[in-house]
Formats: sequence, structure tokens, C-alpha cells
Amino acid sequence: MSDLLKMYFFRLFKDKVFWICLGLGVGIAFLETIVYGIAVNMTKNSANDIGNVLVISTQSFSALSFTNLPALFGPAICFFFLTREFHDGTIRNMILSGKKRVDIYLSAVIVAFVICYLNVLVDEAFIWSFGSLFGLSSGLSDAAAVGRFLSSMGIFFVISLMYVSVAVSLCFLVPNAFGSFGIFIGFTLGLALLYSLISLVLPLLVTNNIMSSGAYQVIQESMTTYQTTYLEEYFIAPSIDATRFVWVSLWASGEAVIIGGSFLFFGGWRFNKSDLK
Amino acid sequence: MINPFERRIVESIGMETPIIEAVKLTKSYPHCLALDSVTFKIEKGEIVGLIGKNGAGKTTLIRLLTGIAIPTSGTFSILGVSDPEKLVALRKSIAAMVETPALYLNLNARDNLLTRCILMGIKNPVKSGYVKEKLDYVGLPGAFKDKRVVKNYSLGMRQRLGIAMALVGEPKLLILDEPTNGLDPEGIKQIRELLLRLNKDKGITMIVSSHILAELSKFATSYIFLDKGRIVEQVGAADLEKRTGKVLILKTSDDAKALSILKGASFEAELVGDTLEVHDVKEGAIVLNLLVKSGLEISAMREESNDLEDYFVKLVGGDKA
Repeated sequence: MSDLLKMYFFRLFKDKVFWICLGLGVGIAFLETIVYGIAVNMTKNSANDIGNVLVISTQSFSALSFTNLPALFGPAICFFFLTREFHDGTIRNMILSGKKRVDIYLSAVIVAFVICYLNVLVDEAFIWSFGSLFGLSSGLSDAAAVGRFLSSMGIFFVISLMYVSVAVSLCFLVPNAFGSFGIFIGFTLGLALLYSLISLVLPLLVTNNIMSSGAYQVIQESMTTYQTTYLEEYFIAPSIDATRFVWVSLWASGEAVIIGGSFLFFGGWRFNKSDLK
Repeated sequence: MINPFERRIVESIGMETPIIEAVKLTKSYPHCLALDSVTFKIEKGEIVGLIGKNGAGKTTLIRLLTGIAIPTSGTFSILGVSDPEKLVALRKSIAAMVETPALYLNLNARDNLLTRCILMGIKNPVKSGYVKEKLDYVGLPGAFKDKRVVKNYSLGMRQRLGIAMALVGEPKLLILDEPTNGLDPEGIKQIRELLLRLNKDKGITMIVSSHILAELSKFATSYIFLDKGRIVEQVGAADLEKRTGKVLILKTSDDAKALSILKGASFEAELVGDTLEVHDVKEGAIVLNLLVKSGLEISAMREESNDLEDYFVKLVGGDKA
């Protein structure tokens, strides 16, 4: 499997799409750092502004970057990267190199996950490194904050794995970049709808997406008590307490195992049994 | 480093084990039977021409042998190994170019070869000169430093690069599906010479499918004729040559008498319209001598060669491959 991983990474680093997506990740991280910095500083003393600026910016960027970075950039690379193997017929080279189909499939999952998580880490690293330039906290102030950050990144790890499993299995099931990406977008939207419905019954899980971001910790650290209280009262982004963390962890792991695992198994099983073009 | 299993395979190559042996190999799709109970054997060092019309099952057979497709029923062994799990590892000894060369179009020639080297576990392929050697061998010496991506290569260059990719890892069996497709006469000649060189220098066994039968007849050492998913004949080049000899077309002063004389001398002759046709003639002079000595006058004579294409048409009927 190590040969396959080496080959995938070699190809990846030679591929413009990878660098474009990574560049886009950095671009969005840059943009969100500026917007958060402005929003946090503009609303330090004004309740009205908090409502108008901070909430909107937090929410829009939570949706745009934190949640959807792995859901869009990582899989976008996968779709153009992996489906090309089928389109150009290069998947045959792997078969003819004496590689097992299961190894080819699992290597693709590992590489896709690394790309996906790398994009998230780039985003996180940027806001950590340059946040102070834009009026945000210069980092995590105490051990508890670091713990929260690592925990939330752990949850994000599991969620990313789920998205990647779905994306890679779709690449192998529907070896057409646009077709499989379309199905993936449909899946992501469907999942978002499902979250909304579940949140009506289990509001404890509603902050799943926002809390999965380590960068949110930086934002939270930058806020005044006034701002934090306001957000907790009026916006669905309360701080992470132990109970909520357990629930969110269970939820994230559960969905990753059930949804990601099902896709992963079905995609692998189908690939192992099917003829290649 | 090769493992004990691979060593056993390598050792067996010098022995009598056929390179490929297929027994009742069948592949069916929901709408058609692409390959129908095909049985054949290919010996080491052969260059096998795979001949058939479009849809005869050539590509399907190649896809099964290379593991790209999975047989519906039947078995096949490569170097005596038929267990599907062990065949996976053994595919390292096989190289194939199915339909079009499998290349990364957004990479240059050197990087394409590097991907294959990585997959085959070849260490330091650039520093050791391995990549350059392969490119030189297939007649692409400038490609090592060429920054152009393969997308911008001509069809002939892609075919050569495809063969260079196939040669990485020193395969024992090379399977090529229409390797001269879309090439100009010069390109076809170059590919033919390359294949002959590979067979001679490295002893590589080859299975080559092609529509250009005249071209195939210049280097194949045996043939498998496929029609409607079935093997209609497997024959060696020497045997085929006997069957595809020259045809002598004559007009004599008495064709009926001439026919009788020739049949009496064990020639395969027949009257076709107002001419006399003598098949599988090695030396036309012998026939003429016989007829003249019998007092017959020859008023017209011409020779036609019954080539591989004609043989194929006779075998399967209808159009040429």
C-alpha cells in the first residue's frame, strides 16, 4: 500500500487542482480572519452591532469555511483527482502493478483524508498565526483552551473522515467527476436538512458544526464577556461544556461510523466486484 | 527483493509451463455474451496475433487476462498460477496497453514513467538512469527533459510512451490492444520494429490485437482467430503460411484436361468461370512445366497471393477485421 500512497501523493503535488484548492483554503482563511477581526472589534460595546455584524459574520463564515471546507475543497480535489484515474484509464496501471483492489481503494481514502484535513489545518493555522494582526486573540491562553481546541479538532477529524468516505466511495461508484460531485452536493444538502430536523428534537446537537472548529476557540477567546453572553443568549453558539461535548462527540462518531462506514463499505465492495473501463 | 512466491514464478519461466492457459473462459454482460467458453494456450516467447472483427471479443479477452474485468465463468492461469489472489501479485510480470495508453495527460513523459516506477517499487529511477533508459529504448530520447505535458503529444509519441510505461519492471508478458491504431505508416513500422526488438532482446511473450492484418503477419508467430466471442482457430504462423500460399490463375487451351492433370498430381485446383485456379502454389514453374509437358498451351497466367486477410474472411465470413 505504501507504493500506492507514494504514487497518489506524487501525482497530487504535481496537480494544479490541488494547489488551487489549497490556495482557496488560505484565501478564505485570510478573509475570515479579517472579517472576524473587524466584527469582534466593532461590536465590543454595542448590542445592536453584535446582532447585525458579529452574528451574521460568524454564521456566514461558519457555514462557508469551517463546515464546508472539508465538505467542498477536500472532496472537490478527490473528485477531479480520483475520477481522472477512471477517465484516463490509469487505474489499470495500478491493477497491472500487482496491487489489490482493496489497497487501491483504501489508499485513495487515506490520501483524500489527508488532503481534506490539510485544508482544515491550513485554515486553522492561518487564523491562529495571523489573528492577532487583525485584533483577534493571539492564541490559546490556557491549557483548558488548548484542550478544547484539540477536542474539537478531534471531532472535526471524525466528521472529515465521514465526508471523505462518502466522497471517495462516490468517486469509485460513479467515476465521472461532475456526476459524483453532484451526488455529493445533494448528499451534503440532505445531511444539512437532516441536521436541522434533528435539532428540532435534540437542540443540544445544533452547534455541532460550529463547535467542530478549533478556530472558533480563537474567536471566542477574543470576545468580551459581554459579547459572549450576547451570543449565548441570542445565537446558537454556546460554549462547550462537558455534557455538550460528550453529546457532540457521540453524535459525530455515530454519524461517521454509520454514514461514512456504510458508504465506504459499499463503495469498496462494488469496486472489488466490478469491471473497469 | 523478490519473495519466494515470485521466485517460484521466475524460475518456472524457463520451464515448460505455458505463459497463459485459459479454460472455458466466459464473460457475459446483461445484453450480450462477449466471450463464450474460450480455451487456449500461449507458450513462452510467442508473439500471438489476436484477430477478430469489432465485437469479436478481443478486448474483452485482454481485459480478463489483465484483471481489469472479472470472468463470469471459466479459469485461466498465468505462468501456471490460477488462484485469483495469487494472480493479483503476479500481474507485476504482465504489462498491457488496452485500447489507449493509460497516461496521466497533465503530467510530462518523465513524471508518467515515475508514477509507474513508484507503483512497481523501483528505487531511484531517475538517478539510476532507469527512466531515461526506457524512454531511449522506445525512441523518445528527448522526452526525458521535455517539459510538455503528455496531452500535447502526438498519438505516435503517446503509443511509444505507453509501451515505455509497460516495460517498467521488465515484464514477461506484454499485451497490446491495437498498438498501431491511428498511426501513420512510418509510425506503424517503428512500433513493429520496437515489438520485434523487445521479443528478440528481452524474450518477452506478446499478445497483440490489431485490425491491420498485413502488419500483424509481419511479426506474429501464431494467431488466435476470434469470432462472436469464440475462438474459431488457433494456428502457428508456419502452419498458416501453408494455408495461405499463392493462387495461380490460368487460361489454357483445354481447362478441363488441365484440371484433371493437376488433380492427378495432387494440386488443389478448380475451375472458376472460364479460368483455372490452382491454390497453395509454392513454385508456379512446376505447374506450368507439368501442363506444357502434357501438350497444353497456356494463353494467360497471373499470380495472386491469398494473404492473412483473405484467410480471415474465409474463416469467419463477411468483411475483413
